[in-house]
Amino acid sequence: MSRLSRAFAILNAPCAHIALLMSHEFDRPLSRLERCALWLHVVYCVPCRRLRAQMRASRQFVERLPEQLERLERPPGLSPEARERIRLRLRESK
Amino acid sequence: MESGGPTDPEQWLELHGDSLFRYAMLRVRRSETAADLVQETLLSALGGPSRFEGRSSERTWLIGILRNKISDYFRQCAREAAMLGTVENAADATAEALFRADGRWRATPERWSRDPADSLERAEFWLTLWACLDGLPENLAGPFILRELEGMAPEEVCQVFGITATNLWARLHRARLRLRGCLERRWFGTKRGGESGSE
Repeated sequence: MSRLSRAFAILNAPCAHIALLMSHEFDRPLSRLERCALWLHVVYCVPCRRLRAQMRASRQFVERLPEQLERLERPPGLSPEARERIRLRLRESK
Repeated sequence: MESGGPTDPEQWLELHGDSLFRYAMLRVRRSETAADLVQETLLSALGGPSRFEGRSSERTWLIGILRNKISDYFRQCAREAAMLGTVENAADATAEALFRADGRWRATPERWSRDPADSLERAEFWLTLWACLDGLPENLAGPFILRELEGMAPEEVCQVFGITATNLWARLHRARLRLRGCLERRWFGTKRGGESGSE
């Protein structure tokens, strides 16, 4: 595929491919052409723009999940049985 | 362990056991496995040559050990999955549900009916998110958790699971689509034509 036809293909990529680029954005630097295709696409495609915002928001939620679980009124913890089993194992190993 | 004081692993268990358990539980998603990892962590801390300095870093030190145990656990899971031939599932139901074969939308994402900023204040939201994370299939969850919760570099995640970067990116993408879809179904609902929620 020539450079020109490759550029054309990326700039005309369907929404599924653009969605993949949105995800790649989190994991690797996009090429200049990919960045351009993504930017142009979300300017006119409302569903893709929405998907991008929601994927970004979801990612931020996941990032905050560990600290939020620590703040729960009754955060989950070791069961009494598991705690006792670990305690005994630690005593054996002292 | 107090700085310079006696090593007391039972005190570690009392002070940090639950936090270590939650840390592991969120990542390995099975309470028995999480408890086993807590035990292995404390045993390693007891027998290990390295020590920390200062009380405030005690939990951080133990979590550092636990993180290595979690990576080892995922490495082991990946080896077992490779041996059993269960690494890949051919069809990507999430992408199929969202997009047609030609890559156009089949079901477009809708506006979220609840304001995400308000949701962040509610414990139920975080429990829902946890449940969504719990619902990810094994082959997507491991890479996603190491990448997004552990903040591991993509190259390291590839090493843990013995997969290529292209494979990792595909798995992460599918996990993200699933998680977004789960939040939409279980928390945000949809609001056609509404103005609130995330664009």
